[in-house]
Amino acid sequence: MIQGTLDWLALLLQRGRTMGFWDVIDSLPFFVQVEISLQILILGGVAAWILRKNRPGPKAPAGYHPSVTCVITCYSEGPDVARTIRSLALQLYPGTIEIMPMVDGSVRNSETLAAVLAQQSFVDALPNRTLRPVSKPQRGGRVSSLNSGRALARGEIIMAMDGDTSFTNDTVALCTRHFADPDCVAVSGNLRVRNSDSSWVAAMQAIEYNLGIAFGRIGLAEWGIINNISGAFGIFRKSLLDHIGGWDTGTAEDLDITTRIKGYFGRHPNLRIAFEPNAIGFTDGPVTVGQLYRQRDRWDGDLTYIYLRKYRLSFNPRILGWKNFLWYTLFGLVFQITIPFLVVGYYFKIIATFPFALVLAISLWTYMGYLAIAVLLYAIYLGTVSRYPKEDLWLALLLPFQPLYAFTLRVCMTLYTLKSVLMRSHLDSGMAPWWVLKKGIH
Amino acid sequence: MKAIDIHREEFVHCFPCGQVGPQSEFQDPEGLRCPKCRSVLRHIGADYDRPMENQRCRSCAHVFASPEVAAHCLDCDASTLPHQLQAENVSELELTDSGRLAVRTGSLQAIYAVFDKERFASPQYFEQSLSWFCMLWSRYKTSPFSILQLQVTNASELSLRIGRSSMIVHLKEFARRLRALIRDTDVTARLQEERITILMPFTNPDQARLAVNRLGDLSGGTATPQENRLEVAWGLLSVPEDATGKEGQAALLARLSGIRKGIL
Repeated sequence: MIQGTLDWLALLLQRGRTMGFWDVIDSLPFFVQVEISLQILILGGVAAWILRKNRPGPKAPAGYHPSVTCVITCYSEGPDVARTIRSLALQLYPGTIEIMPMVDGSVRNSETLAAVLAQQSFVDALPNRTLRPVSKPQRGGRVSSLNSGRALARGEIIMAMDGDTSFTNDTVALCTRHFADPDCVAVSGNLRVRNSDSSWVAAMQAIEYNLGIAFGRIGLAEWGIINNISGAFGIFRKSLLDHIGGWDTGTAEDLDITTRIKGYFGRHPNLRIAFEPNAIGFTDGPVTVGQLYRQRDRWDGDLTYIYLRKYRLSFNPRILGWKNFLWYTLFGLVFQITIPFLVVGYYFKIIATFPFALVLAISLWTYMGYLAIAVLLYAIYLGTVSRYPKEDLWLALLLPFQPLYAFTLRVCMTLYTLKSVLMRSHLDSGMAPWWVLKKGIH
Repeated sequence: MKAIDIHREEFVHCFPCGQVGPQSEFQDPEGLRCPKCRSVLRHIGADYDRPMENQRCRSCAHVFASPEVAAHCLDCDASTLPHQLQAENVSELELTDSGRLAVRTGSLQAIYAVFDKERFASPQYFEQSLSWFCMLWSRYKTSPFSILQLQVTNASELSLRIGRSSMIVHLKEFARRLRALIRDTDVTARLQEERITILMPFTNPDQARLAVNRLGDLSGGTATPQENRLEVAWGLLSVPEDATGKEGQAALLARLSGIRKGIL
């Protein structure tokens, strides 16, 4: 069987060698081709970004230091939240920063509340920094915390962040400069896995974040089609938040608000969402396979819920603008929701019809194709984007497993999608209590 | 600017759309209605909840979670944060038996109040009577009179030496004897805190001096050791011997307070 596999593989390789580049592409399964087209799109964006970066781009006018309110959604982080507060209080930013930890369910999470209150004197001693802890005795969920923060915030810029995310000291300065452009309504922050050394699952996520968020969003932001403003680290102009009525209830409030902001792009094509690769939020990724499975269940299930159920009617170029309409169709509907099913279907089909040796050969061939893409992207990432090249280079040792990791998640995606569509799993989320979620309009 | 006009404000969290705002924004003639999604919120816990309560300053509309507490000195107007205040021990004291006695008899200054119980006249009444006697003499020259003033001079020292309660017993005894000695027609009053003044109608200086001597005998007759006795200085003024009576009562009393004939 091994001999058979190697024979088939040699045949595929020979076909590629004798018939040129396009035939190699052609010999790969169609979903790899879609993947390649997406990566080419991102690469194009990154190339534009690199070219622009080296030219003196539009800079924020000197003395532009808008007031910033950091709304930190806290739940059961406990003493970890002190790290977040301190990393924000010690920002190198001459403007005012109002740090507003919203402790949800503060009766149950008294440890978190105590950790927040303990930072008061530390922040009070710093110029231009205020700590305004808000205690929400009754649990209301993430959205309730975010909207409460919005109701109380005094800053022009609102940074929404998780209680277990900490930041580099130039984060606020890097993010706010984008708002000097009145057309920039929001900025997506970069995220990095803080605990990549705690398990191989976390390390694989570190690679995924580097490629998917740090690298991917640079490319997408250049095209003006950024996919998501992560809930763990998103920056918004307060006037925009007030205009759109803040966050909407339910799960995946980050994807929801991104989609709703994009809903203005059809009418106001000049508006844009920026991505700031150098403003890095350090967050803890799931450590075990089980935790990762549940996290992706939430993320991917919610993506299906947002795209297919909640914003079905927004799939209209007049609302989203042509660029984002095409993006949502290609990436959201085809790539993220349909392709996983096609991949699984494709494998069922070839296993049923092809000799097993050929199935293995195709898998290996596909795997190498994916690996080649991953290595290429990662190399460019290391050379141009990475702020921590040494750590990221070590992570590169795990790159051979990256296609396997991505493939596994893609297979799981089909389960999440089915679950979301058939079982309305978005009504059952850890992000808000059930009695709040079930009242959601959708 | 700091203002004290702080008003507590409840916030409402609308479950159907996630809107959070002050309850006043949700107020509607029908009850609560979300200003964003127009849902009517009827049941707390099912339609909405109260995520937090906040304080709103009514003079600048600033909203905040916990009000700043400051200690304000009514004396010097200084405002201080609680953690900057000087710590002082506050003790809880209990009244002992001697304390109860002090409450019953008054403080050291009011120690002479024991005299007031012994049928003494009020200062106003005394001054009126004295004034009347002065006028009687001026007009008819038929009613000579004397004014005797007694002053306890060692009250403070004695009180420290023998104690308050013994002191009061001494004073009470003195007042009782005084009362027994003087006649029913005499008018006795405590014009100043520690001075007892006696108006003696139809008494010439000799008779008055006799009375003083008898008072001295009385105080000497007790078994109390000399150093523990009350020291009483006395002064005497007689009309017509020392004054004409035309001066008026105020002048007479002023002169009397300057006279010290001896110590009992």
